[in-house]
Amino acid sequence: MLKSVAGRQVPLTPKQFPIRLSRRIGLRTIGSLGAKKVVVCPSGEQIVNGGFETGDFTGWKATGSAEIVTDGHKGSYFAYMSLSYGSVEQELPTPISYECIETFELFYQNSGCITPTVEVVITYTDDSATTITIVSQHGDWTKLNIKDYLDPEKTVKKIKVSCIVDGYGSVWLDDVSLIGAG
Amino acid sequence: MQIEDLTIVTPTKKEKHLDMFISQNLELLKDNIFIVVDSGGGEKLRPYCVLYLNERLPFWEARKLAYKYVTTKFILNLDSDNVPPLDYVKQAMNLLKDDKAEAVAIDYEQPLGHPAFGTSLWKTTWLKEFYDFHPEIHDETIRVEPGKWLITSKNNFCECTYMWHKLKLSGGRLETLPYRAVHLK
Repeated sequence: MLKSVAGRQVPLTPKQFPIRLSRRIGLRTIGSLGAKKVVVCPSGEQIVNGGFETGDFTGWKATGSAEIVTDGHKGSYFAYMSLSYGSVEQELPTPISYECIETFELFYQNSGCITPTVEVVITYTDDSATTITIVSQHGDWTKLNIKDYLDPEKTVKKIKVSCIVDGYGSVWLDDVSLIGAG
Repeated sequence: MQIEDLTIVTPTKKEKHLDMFISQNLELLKDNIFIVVDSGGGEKLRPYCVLYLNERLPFWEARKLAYKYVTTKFILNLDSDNVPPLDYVKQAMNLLKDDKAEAVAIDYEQPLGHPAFGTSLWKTTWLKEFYDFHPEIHDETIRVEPGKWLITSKNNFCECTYMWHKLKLSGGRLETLPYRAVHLK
């Protein structure tokens, strides 16, 4: 890699590499200049079949009442969970650290006479977890910005979304997305 | 079973039990004025209704839209996963016609603990005037402990209790009857 100095192309010093590279191929420079930690961030979508557009649970492990239903927030399908319990979960192909997450979100609806609970559990590589429990009812597609709730010191390895219904109702889930910052 | 002066209003959205809904409510659906607002997946209801509106709406907006087309004196709200006993509908109609109530409702076999809006019968004038349910969700996020978050609502979201409260505040009368509706699962 070269830079222009007084009209001549000269190589960058090693110290300058990570910062310049980070802009071009997705490396991130963490920490002070004296002790740089270079993190390689993946780019693009990290969730497999987050919109369930394969029409099945490819990439996901589904349990209980979870099923695929046509229509959805965007596209042609979404995951539908009802009755007493249903869940879908996905282990990321590659764990991703907080600083490498550009966006992490999902869309849900939970409606019924007694609010069905939506539980989102994000598991980290050290097996600790962040749990987001939604008991507020939303009868239309609602975005949950998962990144807001993450532990910034940790690396995400799995997402699990569950529906717990004590009464009549359902949880709809669509467009689960984790975009890498690379 | 034809019931004079009654319109049945059904909003539907991704209902999984439409076949059961139709077969178990057939006596009501085939002989009465039936309005459907289909927000997805409700095509099977089309042959039974006099007015089929294909609009993607939240259920409360779907109800409001359907009520605009009602010209009879009474309305039966019939959610697309509900089956009310026929005797309940007959007796509720008698109460309304005899001016003993503005609305009549019953709970489900697996009780909610309050009468359900989804099988309630109303005087049309009251329902058209008072139905303004529109949940304005005000979420509150609480950090319960490190790593555990709770998203809850500052305001309640229950159409049934909202409407019964509103009816009572307005001087309206809600009657109930010793029947239970089936909630299809």
